[in-house]
Amino acid sequence: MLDTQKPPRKKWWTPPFDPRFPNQNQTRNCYQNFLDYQRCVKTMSRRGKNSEPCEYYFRVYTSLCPTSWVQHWNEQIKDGTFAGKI
Amino acid sequence: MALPLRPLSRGLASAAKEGHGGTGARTWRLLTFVLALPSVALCTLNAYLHSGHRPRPEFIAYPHLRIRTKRFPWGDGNHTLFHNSHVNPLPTGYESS
Repeated sequence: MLDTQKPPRKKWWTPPFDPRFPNQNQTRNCYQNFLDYQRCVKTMSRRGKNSEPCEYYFRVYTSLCPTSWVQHWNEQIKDGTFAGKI
Repeated sequence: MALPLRPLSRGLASAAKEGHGGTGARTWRLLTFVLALPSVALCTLNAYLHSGHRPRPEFIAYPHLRIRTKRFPWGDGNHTLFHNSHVNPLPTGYESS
């Protein structure tokens, strides 16, 4: 799951309440944070900046998403068949 | 992607029609020849002008498309019923068109 990522060394908290996803179904929350992390890393590296602010999204999606989903998506990104817009 | 917006887009066929004098056959015959058939002709013209070969989109093997959980009951089980080799790729890619 964490393949190339090491967990950030700071304290790992529970994802805070996100008012965009107030109900029981948190699927979209997981997916949105995954997308946000990928987009954040892509933009930061394109601008040559440190991608440390992106670690927030990484921590949230790691807490929320089933690991099999994350593995699946990362494979798809590597193959270029990921369907989300990054 | 989407058709480029041409000034020739016709919405005439859905134009609202005011109440008419009588319900006789004469009225509807008139409407057919004056409104319906010209609309059909204009839509045909529009379709003809937008037609023609376009570059076909490159193939990306998205896993949520071209799903084959069970073979199709016809042919080799891999082609859809109205398969067009020029625009429809198989799960592995376009057949050499």
